[in-house]
Amino acid sequence: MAVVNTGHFSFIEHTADIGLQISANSEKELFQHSLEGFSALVCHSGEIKRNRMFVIDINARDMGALLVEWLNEFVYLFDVHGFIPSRIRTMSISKLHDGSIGIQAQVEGDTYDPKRHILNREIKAATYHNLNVDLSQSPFTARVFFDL
Amino acid sequence: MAFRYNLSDKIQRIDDWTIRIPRKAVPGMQVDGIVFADEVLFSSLLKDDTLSQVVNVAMLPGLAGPSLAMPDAHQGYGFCIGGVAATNLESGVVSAGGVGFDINCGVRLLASSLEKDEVKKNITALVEELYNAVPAGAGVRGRLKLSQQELKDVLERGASWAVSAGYGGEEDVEYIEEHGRLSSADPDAVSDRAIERGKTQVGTLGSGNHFLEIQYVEEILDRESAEAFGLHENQIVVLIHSGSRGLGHQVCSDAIRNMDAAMKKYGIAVPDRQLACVPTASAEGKQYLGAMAAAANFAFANRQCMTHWTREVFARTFPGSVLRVVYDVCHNIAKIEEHTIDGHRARVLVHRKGATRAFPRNHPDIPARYRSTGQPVLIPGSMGTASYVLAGAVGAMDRSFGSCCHGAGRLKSRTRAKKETNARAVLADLQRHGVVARSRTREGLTEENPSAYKNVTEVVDVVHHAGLARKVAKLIPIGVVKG
Repeated sequence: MAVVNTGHFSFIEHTADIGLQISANSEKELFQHSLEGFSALVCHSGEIKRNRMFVIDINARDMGALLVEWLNEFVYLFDVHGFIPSRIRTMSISKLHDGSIGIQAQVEGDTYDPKRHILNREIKAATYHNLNVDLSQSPFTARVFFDL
Repeated sequence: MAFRYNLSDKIQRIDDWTIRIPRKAVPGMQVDGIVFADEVLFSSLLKDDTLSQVVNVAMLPGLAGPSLAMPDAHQGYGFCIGGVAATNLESGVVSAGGVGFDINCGVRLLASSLEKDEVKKNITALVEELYNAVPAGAGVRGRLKLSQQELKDVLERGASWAVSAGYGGEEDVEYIEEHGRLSSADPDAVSDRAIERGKTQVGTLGSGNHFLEIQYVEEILDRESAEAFGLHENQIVVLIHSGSRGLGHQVCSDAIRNMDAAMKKYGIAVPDRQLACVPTASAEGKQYLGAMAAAANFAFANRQCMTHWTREVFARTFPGSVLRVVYDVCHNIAKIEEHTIDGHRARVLVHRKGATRAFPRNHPDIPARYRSTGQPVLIPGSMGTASYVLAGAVGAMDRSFGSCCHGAGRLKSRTRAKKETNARAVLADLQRHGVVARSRTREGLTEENPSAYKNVTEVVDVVHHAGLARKVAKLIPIGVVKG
């Protein structure tokens, strides 16, 4: 794929589907780069403007699950609102009382417009299959597979 | 990847069509793994994680029999695609990953009153009309926009909702697995998000490997069964492959999140988080099964609406033509069925993840018209290649919980398939083979090009020889609509 050498993410081949390998220097960057990978999977040309914003407020029991939930937010937002994410405007990650991790973010992006965007494919979901998030050393890395 | 086991010295070939991975091959396996494959197909399974995924499924709690892989199996996520596993209702689990995201992704075959020659003359216009009539592709809204209450009716009633809304006739429902409605559906178990995703997607094909194909019957391989199915040589048929769209995907995502969080409470550990599961009788298990059945009903209604629009196009192009539902089968589903296990009849939860039910003759759950032959089993090939109609056989009840393969099975990743060709070359190649194709995206052609799949004839030959289903008819495509 043309978009694999961004330094932020690359795609991993998988017989049924496709994986996303993410590299980042901070937690915020990890989520930003995952969002860029998601958009590249959905749509392969056309400028992604920042003319719309959604608030994301989710939590999960660990960082891997949080990344899956984060990406599934964008699967949902694309399906229902045609939202293609571009940039995290604000974000905070916090440990909650029950031990889970929460993320609150404002994400800017574009609305799918067939005149400006060429869609690649439909993404059914981000999965937990061979999910991995490693924050133990720099750069942070993560791997997540999508069902297409 | 994380769990690739070295199985090379542990695998046992039982016969030309069957391989066993013994329970003792990997610590933690509760049952054997059984793979239906000849030498050629089996060699492709050694190149990815399919066998390791069969082993992982064999570790689930409360299995009622072996962890199975059909001859079209390939690496999936959690379960392999082409995986089948039955669990005990009392001591076993339900796994949302064992059904998959596209709940009741399935295939419907329509038999026409038309012959190949008269349709072939109009095939380009016909494909164009179908492309315009049946919404396909990512980001494409459907022709229907349902209210919340209407959608709940869809989830409750399945194909019958579509018929009562004017999309098809009562006779269609007779020829759909479960009569197009799982009565265990619980629309209230479906999340608001899933409902939101479903409102504009009833009657949409989707993208990826989903398709609508116009085909003709090239060869009859079992005349008696073909007669019962209403198929004859050179007859035009239509094959529709689609599922429960975003609604089903959301139901699965919701359930995997809930199951992943709940497993600890039930003392369950799994080797791959995508295998997340809970006891079938638990609150989480019941909620998932109710939501899953509702999503399955959505998929039945979805294929019913597309059938109606396909009929409208045929009626405009070929006035007086008829398209009769031969059968409609589910690929991704978990159902409570009665099977014989160790000589005793027992009700078990059969997970089919990329596998087709293949009930044999005299089974009470198949339409009276097919009672003497076994149910039609519909096996689409890759785009532009043959598809097959089979009939369920007794061996499926003995060996595979009444199941068999669901297609050709992927061989190459989408990335690789796309790298090796381009959309123009795929279209030209299809045209050389007499196939007119229309796709909303380039990826619909490049990622699904025939070289990305196994040889469907080899796959159905294994099923036939293993006694899971009998070959009845071979179909050849002449028109393809894709998302």
